[in-house]
Amino acid sequence: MAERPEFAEFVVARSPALLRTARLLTGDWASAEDLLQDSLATCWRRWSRISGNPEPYVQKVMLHTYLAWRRRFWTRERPTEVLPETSVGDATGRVVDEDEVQAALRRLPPRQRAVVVLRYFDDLSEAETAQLLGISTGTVKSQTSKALATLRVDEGLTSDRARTEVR
Amino acid sequence: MPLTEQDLRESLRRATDAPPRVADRLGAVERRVRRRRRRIVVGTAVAVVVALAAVPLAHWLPDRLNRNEITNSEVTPEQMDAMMQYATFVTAWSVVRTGPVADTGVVGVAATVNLPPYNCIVATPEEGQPSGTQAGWVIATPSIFAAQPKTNAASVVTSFILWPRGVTSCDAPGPGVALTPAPAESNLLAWQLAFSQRPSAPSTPALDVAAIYAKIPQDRLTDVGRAVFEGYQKAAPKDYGSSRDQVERVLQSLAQWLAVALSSSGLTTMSPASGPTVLSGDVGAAPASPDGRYVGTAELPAGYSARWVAASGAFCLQGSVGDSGVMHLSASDFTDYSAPPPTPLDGPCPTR
Repeated sequence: MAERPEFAEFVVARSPALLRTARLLTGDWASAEDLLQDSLATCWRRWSRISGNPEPYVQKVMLHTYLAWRRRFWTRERPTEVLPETSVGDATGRVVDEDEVQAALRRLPPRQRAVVVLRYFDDLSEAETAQLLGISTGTVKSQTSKALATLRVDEGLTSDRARTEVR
Repeated sequence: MPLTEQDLRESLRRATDAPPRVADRLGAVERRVRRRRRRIVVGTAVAVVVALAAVPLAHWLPDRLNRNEITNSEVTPEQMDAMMQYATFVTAWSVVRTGPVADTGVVGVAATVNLPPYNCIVATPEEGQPSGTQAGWVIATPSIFAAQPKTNAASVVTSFILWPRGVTSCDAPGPGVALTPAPAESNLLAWQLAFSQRPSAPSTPALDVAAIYAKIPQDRLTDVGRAVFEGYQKAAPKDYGSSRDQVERVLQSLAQWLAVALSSSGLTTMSPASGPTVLSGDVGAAPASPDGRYVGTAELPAGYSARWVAASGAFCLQGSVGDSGVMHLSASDFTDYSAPPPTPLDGPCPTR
């Protein structure tokens, strides 16, 4: 990477944040690392053509790579009762256990999952989300609405907790 | 408890609170880049190899499929007979000189030309092809050549071997059809095949090429085979003349043969002779006439008779076809073979 020092700086500075997004998309750290590295490798070849802040571009590549994986390897990932990774318990007694949210997130269709992650994890606006995913703002709205509705009635989230409507 | 959007945000962030440490992510990305480069290089190389291999394959495969079709296509022994016979004709027509022939006009049939010493063409099935009713078919010139007609007029072939059953090679098949050396300088054989009739059937082609051609499956004919047939159809005579014309041609052809035989080799057949019979020259003793033509056998058909005097070379031939009436041709000293033979006259040979 010596010939592209800006790329190395970007990876060092921004890859932890990108990895977290990838983690929520893929559901586990190993796949997240794989997705991130694959996306960065794709971006490396086009680095000289990226103008301005490269992060939206890398995010876009990562999202499209993720959706492409989902299409290509759709048989590899299936919703399961038991998650491959477990986190420590919620010592603070938060209202929603993150494991339950993760499991529910993984049961969403890929595009809805991506919309939820970008809107509620990366705090992107509807317009920014639409641009990254290459879809219209209206589609972002409808996908968000559907995703939240699904989460609202998800068995994992409603089984042992009394739910109120997600506002 | 209510699940608010803020709860969702916090939950998502908590899920990613403790990412595993990756010692060298940059190095990992670099390795991926290199791996992709290698894939591109290898992929390109493979594509080039495949493309290069596709060229001969594109030639080989249709040929292979074609061969399979040939191997699998059903050809009856009678059809293979016709294929071999036509192959000999095409080979003769194509003015080939000697050795095996590349395109016999028929797929699956090989032809060999023996020229010299014999103007003989033998055709056999290629390896793996079905058999005919016999191993091969032969066209040859065991005897003298009649003078070439100046136009596309019909002429009579006195004693060619034209696909006789039982003759499968250019080895001398026997005294009646003994092969003799033939001149190699011209395509006399093809010429004669196209324009000739047998003495016993002067109103039909000596070789019924059209009938043979019709028996061959179309997928067994090559472009050469089709082109030769077109040429043959254009060249072959359509009109064989009146019965008197036909008798005249037979008498003149037999006279030419008899004159050559008397002057060069002597006749082994005793005079007089009545048809149907075969007149034979002494092939082994003196096969060639002084001007390079060759003596073997001649068919004297039914209705014809001949008598001659070996010492003087005088002879007389007579015969008839249909309503022609009996005509005769006599000569006392007919030795100029290039000159037109004497004109036949009405009536039988004069008594001596």
